[in-house]
Amino acid sequence: MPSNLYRLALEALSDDEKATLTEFEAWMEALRIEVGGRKTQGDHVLGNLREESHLLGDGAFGDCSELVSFLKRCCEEHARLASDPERYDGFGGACGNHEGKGLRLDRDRLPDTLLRYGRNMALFEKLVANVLGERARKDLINGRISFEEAFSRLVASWDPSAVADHVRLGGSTVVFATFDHSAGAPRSDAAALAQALALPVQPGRKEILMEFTYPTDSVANHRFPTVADAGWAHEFQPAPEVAPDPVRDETHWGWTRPLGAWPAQPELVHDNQSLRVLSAPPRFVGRYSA
Amino acid sequence: MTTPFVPAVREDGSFDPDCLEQAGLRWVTAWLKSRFQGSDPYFPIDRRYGEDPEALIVSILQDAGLAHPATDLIARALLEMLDEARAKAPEVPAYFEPAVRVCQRVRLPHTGDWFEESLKALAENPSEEEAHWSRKLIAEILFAATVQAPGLPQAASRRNWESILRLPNYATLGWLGLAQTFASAASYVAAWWQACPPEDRHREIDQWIYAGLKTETADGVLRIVGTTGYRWPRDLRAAVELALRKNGVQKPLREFRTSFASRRYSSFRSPMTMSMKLSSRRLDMQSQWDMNRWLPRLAQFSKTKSTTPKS
Repeated sequence: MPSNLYRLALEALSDDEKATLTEFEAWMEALRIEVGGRKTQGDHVLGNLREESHLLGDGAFGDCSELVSFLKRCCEEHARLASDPERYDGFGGACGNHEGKGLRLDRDRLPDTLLRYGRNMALFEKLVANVLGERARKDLINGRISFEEAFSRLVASWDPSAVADHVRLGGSTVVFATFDHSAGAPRSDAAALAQALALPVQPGRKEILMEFTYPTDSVANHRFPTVADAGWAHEFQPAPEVAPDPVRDETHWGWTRPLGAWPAQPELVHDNQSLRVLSAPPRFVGRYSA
Repeated sequence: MTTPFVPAVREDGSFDPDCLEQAGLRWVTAWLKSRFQGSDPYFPIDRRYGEDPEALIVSILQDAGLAHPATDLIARALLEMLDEARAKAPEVPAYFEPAVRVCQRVRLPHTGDWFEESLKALAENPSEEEAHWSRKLIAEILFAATVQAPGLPQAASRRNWESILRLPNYATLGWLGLAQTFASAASYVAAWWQACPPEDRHREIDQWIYAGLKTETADGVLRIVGTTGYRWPRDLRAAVELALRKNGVQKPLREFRTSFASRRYSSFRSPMTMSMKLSSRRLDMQSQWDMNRWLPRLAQFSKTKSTTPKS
């Protein structure tokens, strides 16, 4: 069901743009690539796009100008590019251009500590190199020390000031984050937590999950997560079209759509930042696989 | 989709490297470039929680092994990217760092020469190379070179690694490039110690001893340290002793010196070295400094021996 914001945005497009958008939507709806259980489900991504109601930039709730700009960019990319892989990239580029443009969150509603979960081994190796040294990184890659050993040594020697500025929470301009809330989360069970956070399990791969804790005020630009932040991740769920309500906490940030029977987790995005901001050593949640 | 080639997977969902033989170099290069830049329609990258784009490629290479045609194809595609990036530097294409990170994890065919050229350029003109790449990127390239062009005894890269060992910013990577085992690392540790920035020394020594104790056992570490340690500067020996203690070797000083004492005379270099034989044990001292430290203890030891009843 399209959001009111989406309907408003459609009305703001020219006839030519509307025609291109119709083509773009038809292309996306039909796009379904499944290789070994890993899916690109264009129809789900399109569904999310139509439900988007918080891609507002610095506009007020219900102001469709940012969404119009995003849809125009999607249309331009679609018209400019011919092949499916190019158009796939084109949508990714349009998303990248509109990252971090969800409705700004009310800082006073947020807790003082944020959590981010990462499964990026390269990031962990960079942390090891910064804190334990290059030899430790080499030993980790060579298997002379296990991941668990490296983690425990990292925690024992943790010194945020040793972390280089370029070693950051994530790889994009903005990063997803969550926080502790009353419904709880299975924070000691990697597979369950991945499901609660709607992280897809990659067939044939063993994943690690690490937890980073940092002060909310150490990062800037707290915003609702939007379809532009999620890109092709069809597991993402846009926030319901409800303006932030002073008496309803749940309307002040986004929520995950869990893959299992776990409680939905609060979700926001903020500007990327160096891992120097961590207020505690990283925590190894565990490993999980399909 | 109208793509001419779609990668295949096995029954368990893992990537089937055999399928790449039909893909061709052009497709593989385009796929890797796109994936390393964050976009892959076949194996989507989840941007929400920072998925490694190169992790899939590393697992494919590890699964396929060095002799598989898919490894050859991927290596050639990576080499193309490395060449292209070198031509573009100091501009750095987004695919470059993930490509280098693959090279840090898996030994590949074809890429050795590229890394040897990088080593040569850095060894011959570090400041020019730093202007070409950044210091951070050079470190990443060197880390990959420890895998793709290690300084083995007969390797062409060895002399360049020895030069890099003397560059403070890259001394540790030089040490890693030259020494693949605990014992070979012991041969270079003194040169590394001289060049390495002081703030990095102790953590590297600690890790060297920690991993050495796992691969060589405490006896092995003490033996290796003993056969080379007498040549080391005092602060390096102290750092090694500290690391031994920190990593649970309970009697580091005594063990260190016992093994130190059991080495062959032929390994002595210093003219100040002298040896003594006492109660069938040889105790060797490389310098007057050592002698001054040991003489009171020897006297005490001698006294103890003379008062201990023979069994």
